[in-house]
Amino acid sequence: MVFTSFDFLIFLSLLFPVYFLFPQRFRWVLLLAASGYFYSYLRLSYLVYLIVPTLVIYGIAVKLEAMKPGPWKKLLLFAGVISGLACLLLFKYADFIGRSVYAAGGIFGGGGKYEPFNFILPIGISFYSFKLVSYIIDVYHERLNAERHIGYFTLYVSFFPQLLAGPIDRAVHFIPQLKKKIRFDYDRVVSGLRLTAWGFFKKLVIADQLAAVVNQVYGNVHNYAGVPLIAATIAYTFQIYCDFSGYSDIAIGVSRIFGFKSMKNFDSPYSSTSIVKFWNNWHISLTTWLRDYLFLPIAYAVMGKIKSPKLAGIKAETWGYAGGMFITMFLGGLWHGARWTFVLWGSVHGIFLIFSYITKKTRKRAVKKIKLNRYPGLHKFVKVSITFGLVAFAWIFFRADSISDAFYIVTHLHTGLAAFIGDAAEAFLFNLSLKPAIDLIARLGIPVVVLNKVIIAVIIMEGVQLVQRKTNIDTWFSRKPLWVRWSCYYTLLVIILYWGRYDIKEFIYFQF
Amino acid sequence: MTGFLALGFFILNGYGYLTLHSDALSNTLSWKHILAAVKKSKKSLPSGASVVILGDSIGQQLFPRETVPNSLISNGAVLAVGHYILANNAIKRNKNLKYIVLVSAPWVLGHQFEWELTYNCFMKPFYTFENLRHISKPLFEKINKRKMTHRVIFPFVKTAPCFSDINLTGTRKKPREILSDTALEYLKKLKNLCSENNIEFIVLSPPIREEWRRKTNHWEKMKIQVAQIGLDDSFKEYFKRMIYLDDSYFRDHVHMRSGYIDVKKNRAGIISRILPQQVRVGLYRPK
Repeated sequence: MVFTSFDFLIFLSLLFPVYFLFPQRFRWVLLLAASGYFYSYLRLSYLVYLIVPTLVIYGIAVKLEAMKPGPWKKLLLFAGVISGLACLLLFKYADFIGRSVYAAGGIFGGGGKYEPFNFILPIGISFYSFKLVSYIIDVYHERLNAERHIGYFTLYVSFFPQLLAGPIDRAVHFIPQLKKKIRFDYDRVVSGLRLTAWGFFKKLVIADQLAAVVNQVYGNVHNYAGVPLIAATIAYTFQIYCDFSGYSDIAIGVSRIFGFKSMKNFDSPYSSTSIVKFWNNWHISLTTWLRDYLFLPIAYAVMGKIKSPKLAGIKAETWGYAGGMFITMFLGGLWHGARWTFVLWGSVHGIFLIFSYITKKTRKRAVKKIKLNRYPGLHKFVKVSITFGLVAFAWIFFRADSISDAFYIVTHLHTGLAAFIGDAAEAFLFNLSLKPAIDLIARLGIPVVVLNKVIIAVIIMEGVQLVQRKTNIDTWFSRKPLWVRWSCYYTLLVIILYWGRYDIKEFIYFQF
Repeated sequence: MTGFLALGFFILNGYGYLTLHSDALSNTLSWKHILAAVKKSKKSLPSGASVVILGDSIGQQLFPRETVPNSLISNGAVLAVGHYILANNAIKRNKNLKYIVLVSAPWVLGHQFEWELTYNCFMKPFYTFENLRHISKPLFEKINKRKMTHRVIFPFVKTAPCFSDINLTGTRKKPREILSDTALEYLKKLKNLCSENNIEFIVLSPPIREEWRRKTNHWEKMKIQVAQIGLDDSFKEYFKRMIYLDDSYFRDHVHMRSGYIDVKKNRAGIISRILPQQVRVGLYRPK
């Protein structure tokens, strides 16, 4: 079931009253049944790939907890991690690995043609597999006790709002909530509904409308050069943010309606002042997962291998950071999809992060030298712009259909740029005409009236996020007079229903 | 909660109403061209105009609504009932009308109400409180088969993109070589309406593929049907003036290629062949 379908709205409006009328101690049964129905609505067989690893991990965790530290416990942990990832590796990466091996074989003179398995990838598998892995590792490290209640554990893995595209909540955070008494709280439900509506706004009004521009240009990259490529890349930068953060808002909002607190997944990432901060604010549940279960172990392992304080004149700490970061971002890219474009996207970010780490002092000195630090506003603007530019640039690799398309875009971004700026400036200054811009919009495959709506929607979104950065918007908004709140609700409703696009049924992150 | 819903209903429908009546907002509707025909039908034609042209999308190629002042052409999916409502609007506002001409390919008149385009092309533009009196009992029964279809009477459902479509049929019906029930009923009504107002009702066909002549034996069955229901007068010129063209003249087996029809000489030639002299005078030189 997809959040943006009418079926989901009906499902939610039926489940909600039943849930609060249900006896507290059996609510998990209701939620589990609802989650099973929600997932099997897409395809019944998906349930098997969800239930089998969940039961295996449940059993391993209970056994793991009872074992004493030693090689057998480590072995069991390894078995647990592999079990958690088995379906993911098989369904998502088997063909990718096969193709890559055959391609490499071809380079080195091997022959043959790879016959792909063409498995159907169960939606959400990347997300729930990571939940399983984090759980088993946390049990191993005794950060939490193995959950004995199989229903609670299964519900943690399969809780429907988080099932298809996260947030990748941790068991230590989620399972205790199942054991607490949840009462109907009007304010909490309203707050959840607000966040859900906000998610729909981002997804339907901004992301899905921008998809027209992005698909038009990225689907035929060789027909475009210069400004259209830049415009489509910026459009994609907003599309992917609104699509995924919109999904997360709906997931968190729906969880809140049912009384559950989910972890935050986005925190105005495009207003970050550095790449490091961008990653602290983008897909937070994945970033923290990668940090805790990949980056830190790798970084410590690398540092542990270097016995002296420096190696080749570089600090061991820097080696640890660079090694850990590059491998993490490489694998993070691969997590998004079994394609080299994703790997390249992750690697580009890895390079950005390493470069940012090693040039930190130099950049600080440069800022002081040009006295930019005397103008904090301007300094922040420059930092945000550079970060946004780098992030948008990296999205090219993420969105392009192939590596060759990505390189075509990168090498043609500047083509005709100066001429366009000259024409646009001349038309505007001497004739007060926007013709070059209007011609460009026509080439992008989006009507001007729709583009205007999207621009207004983006301005509204940025305005809300500006308030969000300064204060708790939920509390701030709740204190507003009744007529203000209701006017906002209705405006949002009209915008979602009238300005939204309803023919795109999926979220971008479903494919991951 | 009730207050919230009631106010929401009012606001959403208000915005829908605004969308229907604002050119800028209605520009994004998928059925904007039909709405344009409806709006045009509610305005007076140029003073002294004696002809109104209705018709399908092939007719639109001959008499573009945007440039021909007398043209209220929408498309074939509005069915005969849509044409009837447009004619009714035009008759009310234009006292000098002498001819109402329906330019429609024969198989288009064969389309049943249960057609995949009916919801967006007929129900959304024409199923309004104002037009309910034109909906006959048999037609209402057809609409009633899908209960949710009635909600389209509200401006919100008509205009919000989340209510994009209801497939009233589920399967695509093949074009018919006889008039559909709805066409039979509403062509007769249209004829009566015209008679009551001393207007001549003429049905004409745009050019169609040569293949149809052989397949239907020059519309043998339809001719019999027309005679049976007493529409011979209106169809007098229909089969006589029908133009069959080779398939190479059509871009999709239905609509003529723009390279052909956009040539002024070709269009004028077709119009002079299908349109009776007296109608041509009323069309191009309104008194």
